[in-house]
Amino acid sequence: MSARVLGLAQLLVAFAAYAQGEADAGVEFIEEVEVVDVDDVNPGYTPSEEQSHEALRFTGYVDVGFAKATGDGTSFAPNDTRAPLDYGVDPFATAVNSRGDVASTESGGRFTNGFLPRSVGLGGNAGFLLNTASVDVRFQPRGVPLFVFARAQLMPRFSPSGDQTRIELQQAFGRLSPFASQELALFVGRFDSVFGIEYLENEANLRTGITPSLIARYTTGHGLGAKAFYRVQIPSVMSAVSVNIAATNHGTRIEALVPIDASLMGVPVGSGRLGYELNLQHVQAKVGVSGLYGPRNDQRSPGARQMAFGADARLTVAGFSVAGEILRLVDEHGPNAGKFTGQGLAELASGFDVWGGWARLAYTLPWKSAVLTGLTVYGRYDRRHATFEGNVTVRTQRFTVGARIDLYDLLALKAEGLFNDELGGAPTVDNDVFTASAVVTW
Amino acid sequence: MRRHAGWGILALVTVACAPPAGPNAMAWTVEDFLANSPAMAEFGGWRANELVTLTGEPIPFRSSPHAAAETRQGPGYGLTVFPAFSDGQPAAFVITEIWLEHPTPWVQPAWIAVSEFLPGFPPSAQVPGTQSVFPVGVDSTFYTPFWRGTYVLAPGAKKDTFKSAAAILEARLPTQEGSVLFCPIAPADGGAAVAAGETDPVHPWLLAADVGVDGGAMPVRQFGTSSAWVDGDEVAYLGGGEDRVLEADQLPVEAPLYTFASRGADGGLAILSIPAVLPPDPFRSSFVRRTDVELPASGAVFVPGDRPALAAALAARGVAVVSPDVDPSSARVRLGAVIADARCLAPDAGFSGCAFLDSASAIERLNRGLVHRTETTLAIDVVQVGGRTQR
Repeated sequence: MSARVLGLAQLLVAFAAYAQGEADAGVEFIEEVEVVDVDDVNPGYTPSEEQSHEALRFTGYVDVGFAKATGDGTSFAPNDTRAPLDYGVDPFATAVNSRGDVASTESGGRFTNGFLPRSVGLGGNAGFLLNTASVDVRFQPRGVPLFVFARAQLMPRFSPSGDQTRIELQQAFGRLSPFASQELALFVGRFDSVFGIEYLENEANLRTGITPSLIARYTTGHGLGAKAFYRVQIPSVMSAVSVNIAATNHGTRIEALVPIDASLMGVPVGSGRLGYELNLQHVQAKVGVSGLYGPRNDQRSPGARQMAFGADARLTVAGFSVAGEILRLVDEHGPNAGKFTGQGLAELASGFDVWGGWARLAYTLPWKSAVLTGLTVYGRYDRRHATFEGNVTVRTQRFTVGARIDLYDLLALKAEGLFNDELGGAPTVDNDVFTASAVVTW
Repeated sequence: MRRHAGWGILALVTVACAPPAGPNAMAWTVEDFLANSPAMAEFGGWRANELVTLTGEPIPFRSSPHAAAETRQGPGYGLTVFPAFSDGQPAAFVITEIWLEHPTPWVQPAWIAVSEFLPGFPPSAQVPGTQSVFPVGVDSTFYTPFWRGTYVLAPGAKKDTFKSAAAILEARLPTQEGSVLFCPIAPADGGAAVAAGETDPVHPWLLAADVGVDGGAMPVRQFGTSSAWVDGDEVAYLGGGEDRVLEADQLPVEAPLYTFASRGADGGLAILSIPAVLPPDPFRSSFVRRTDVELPASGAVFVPGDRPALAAALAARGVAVVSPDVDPSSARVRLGAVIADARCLAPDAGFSGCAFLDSASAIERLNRGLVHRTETTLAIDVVQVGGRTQR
């Protein structure tokens, strides 16, 4: 057991002991299940202050999955000997859970260059997964506009060296809301992205479906730095305008691709979103534009920048919800040898250009009961065109269909099919996925 | 105004806080040599116009200071034929790629359509009319001139049946791997330097008779030029041949290229314009690392008396030059050779009793303080060794 694993195990034991102590003292430690309305949490998945009745609370969820990918679980063709192998395909296609982990990244000894998601090690086999065990700690002293939040997650995975449990301190931040009369919140620490809208569904218990889109890798990473959220309501036109800006070490990419915990350049990456929302009685519409600019944080070279632009829209009416997002992102060539990623050191930081997007239609049945608290069916279309400097443009699309059943507001049962399609630049491979997930929130 | 001053301070702080950047990983190809030849940009220790000659320009080593008269490049560009020694024999090579502070380039697949697989090598002839398919071009961070010949069983293939890596992979046809091919992607209108009025590239000063071969100037091997597909586009490449490099784990095996160098006023080493020393097994050592060799304190460079400009140029760099009387053929064979200890020279004794630094083994016996591994690696084509050329 690594020191990190041991450390977190000790932390969890301490949590459990504390909870038991509180229960023994007659205090109901877990007083209710907290269901956060995604549309109400633009600053990220952060509980509102009204929901924090106690100064210190523990919540979380457990996501158990079952998945089967066709082929060998990767997007690598068996006869492909190009170098690097991950430049000519989309290694993220075979996602099996809400983290975007894929069935396999096993390259068979062929060279890859750090453009890989994390893997659950299933390969082409069907199997159960403990996708995430997530623990939240939140603290809000009474009478003070401060809020502290931390989320630790455990991800048991099989790797070539055997079973390992990775631990990630996914969020840890302090939030100051200085004005009671204003929707202004200032954050420092590690927190949700501010780019686009998909980060709002990062957690398995919040995501309508199971797997993230093909562009989630660029927009849903948790940044370390500072951010500010401000929203002004305009009641006369039933509207609101919001601004969410951040300065972080790495930008908005997921941690598997870029290191987050240190700024390799000493200059932060700026990102932000400007949003407008219209809140009518039966119709809700939200649109936004996002941007990102700064040094790419995978090298210590001042000349290489990353930049991105995105737009998003959501419409909810009569049980139907339509959402979509588009993205264009460019990485300049990193001139140094070596490229840092969240998973280790790669060889070179190539220039990169990608555009893509997704659109999702979901329908939630209008009736509920004490047991069945939600039933949603959905379909999503993804498209991605990506080019590493001097390499072929890989054009892919994906059709996703699925359903979600919520029971007791505690348990979400989800099933999803992913149908990946190589349109050009990459060889056609068997890389469709069936995945299911049971998420228990506590 | 104060607000502006605040931004200025912030900018200064962020710049001051920025960690020092590491060295840049650079890669240059023949295209880069050509584009930068007029500006004489430096690539890993050589200026562009020392690596390639444009039409009508003087050819290095065949013009001043190495020769009294100027010899100019004929039609098309010419890659410089560098004189060298290999295990004591005169040799020559050309440089096609240079990498500085760069990881070892990978061996990429090159797909070749064949009509059948035969035992042995090559497995079969390429289907007439078809072109090889490379997965990357010179714009890629992972460009390489070293390709693993990958033979694809496609007897009915036409020229445009397979124009990209994806098309080949998607066809899922039987394949058979062959040897590593050395094929630098480069413009088609050139090759090893050929002087105006001549038809073939030659060693800069050696005659065929000097190494026991009939003929006049010592010919060296010329590249064949061909076309290949890269992601639907046709590119030209120089055919350097098969088995020009050993490969391990999809990487070319590196060997040292010993380049003699002297220290400049800044204390840095700069390459001397005299023959380098090739590694053992030169025809299979196309991936080399520039390894600078300082002359021993008593060492000297042999320059015949009929090349005073070269002697003067070397002397100006602080290099000892000796010019004993030897027969003309020996003078051509040994031109630019480094004598390990010039005290070996005796009146009317020529080179007898002298040891030359003209082989990898001789250099490896030197004081290691004189041998300096650099961060420059090269792709070279050895075009002649002792009168022999690789097919």
